[in-house]
Amino acid sequence: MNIDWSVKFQGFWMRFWGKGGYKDVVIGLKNTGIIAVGGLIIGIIIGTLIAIIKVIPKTNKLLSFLDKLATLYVGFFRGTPMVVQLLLGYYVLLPMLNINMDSLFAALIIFGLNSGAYVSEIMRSGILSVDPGQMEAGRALGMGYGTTMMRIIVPQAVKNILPTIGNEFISLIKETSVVSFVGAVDLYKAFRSIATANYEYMVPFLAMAIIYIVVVLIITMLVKIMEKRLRASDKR
Amino acid sequence: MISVKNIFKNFGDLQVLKGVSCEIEKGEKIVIIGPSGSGKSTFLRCMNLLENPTYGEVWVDNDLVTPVDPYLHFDVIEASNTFKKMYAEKKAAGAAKSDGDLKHDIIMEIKEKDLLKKHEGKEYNALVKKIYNDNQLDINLARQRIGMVFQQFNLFNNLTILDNITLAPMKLKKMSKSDAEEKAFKLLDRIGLRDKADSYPQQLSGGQKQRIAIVRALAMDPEIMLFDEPTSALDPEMVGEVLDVMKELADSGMTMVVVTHEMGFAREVATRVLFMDEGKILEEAPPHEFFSNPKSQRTKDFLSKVL
Repeated sequence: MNIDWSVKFQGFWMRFWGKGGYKDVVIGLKNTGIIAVGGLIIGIIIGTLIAIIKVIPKTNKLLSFLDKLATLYVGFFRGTPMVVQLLLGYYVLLPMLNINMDSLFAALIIFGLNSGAYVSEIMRSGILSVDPGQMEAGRALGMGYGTTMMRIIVPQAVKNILPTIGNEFISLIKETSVVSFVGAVDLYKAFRSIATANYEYMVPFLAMAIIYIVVVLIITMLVKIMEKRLRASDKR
Repeated sequence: MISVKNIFKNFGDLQVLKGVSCEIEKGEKIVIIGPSGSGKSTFLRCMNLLENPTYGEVWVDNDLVTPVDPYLHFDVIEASNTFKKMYAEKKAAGAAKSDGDLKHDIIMEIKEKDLLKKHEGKEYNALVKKIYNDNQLDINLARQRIGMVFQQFNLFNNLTILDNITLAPMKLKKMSKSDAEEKAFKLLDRIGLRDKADSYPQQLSGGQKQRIAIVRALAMDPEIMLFDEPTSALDPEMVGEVLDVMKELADSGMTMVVVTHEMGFAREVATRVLFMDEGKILEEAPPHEFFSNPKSQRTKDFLSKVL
């Protein structure tokens, strides 16, 4: 097959630069960033809470109830694809509750809920990897379970799981490519509209792939730097 | 200071403590020795409830920190349905003993055979509740008065040495940062480690870590210090520096309970030596008497191996 790349590229460039297709790409990139970062932040908050509920000794009924609730939550969000959650949330739950919500904001929340389920498992393994002596030392000084957890255990757990959280962030970035299902602009939608304008798919989608790779590589680097700084307390 | 009453501790089917009692008075330095697996560490950890005893009570000064153990209160047993039933039966059978003796016998029988069940009547429950409400103290408050030093140091790995020492006083005693740090530096001066204030635990040697751990506990101004084999995880050359800090602490009048294998320390510092084996206290005596004139054969065997 003979492909004339220069023609294809010129066609793409005309759409991308000449006709302002890049504006959509920038918006898409921004939305991808908002959804991934916001989703991860919500996910870390929810995930940490759930992980603590999971590891806390079940001394009363409320705690065991919360534990069951958390299991249900994690089961649902890990057991269904992100697209399904997005569609259920945006087209079923929101109309049922009679809420009008911007599709980007809705996507952000659903990504947060989804990520919370995954982060909870990561965080739980992180908490369990911290030496139990650390909790004992905190309790022996008279600090409560919660204080010791938040001041001593969780910071050490986060350090242990940072590479895994980095992975979670990367997969969130990649999964943002499904938010066009509910009408939000993302990288996929931006490049698709460039592509469909002159039925020329090759270059736009290649460009999309390259942008994703570059973003992911940058994030990987940032995670490495952060890890290094957090390991400061390990230096001998 | 701390009184431990008839503690039993089961881990699954394994019974580690089999009815241990001990009164610790202010200013005492108690050293607990015994073969490994004898329950001495578990006993120590029961004192600040890092292990919850299966039966028995722990009192800190005049406050109860464990749940009420009905077997330790005769009036509670007497209020139980089981007691009432047995009393009525024995009365009907025409017991020859005086009323007081009869009651005492029944109480002992109930106690020894562990006859109390879950539902022992309103009067019984009310009595247990009353004892608990009148005496109980939140364990976190009690632990602020009981310092503890661990075999594995357990310094907080994510905090600097200074933060390790100041965290609890700032959180629990609402001390200002500057006050807490001033106090921390004073304590660090005492052990000659002021220059390590900004280091992290991983950067220190075992002996340094353990001395910091002692100082961290002291920053809460505890009334009593518990030491759980503080020198067992150390290189031999570092044992001395930790023991020196402990001796200095003992000289300052601190009440101490020390689980250790250091017989020299026991001889020099202890006011009372407890020998534990198979979950029981076999012998307790002042050190000179304990080491020169042990009473039980088991103690003699043990001492002949370690001395």
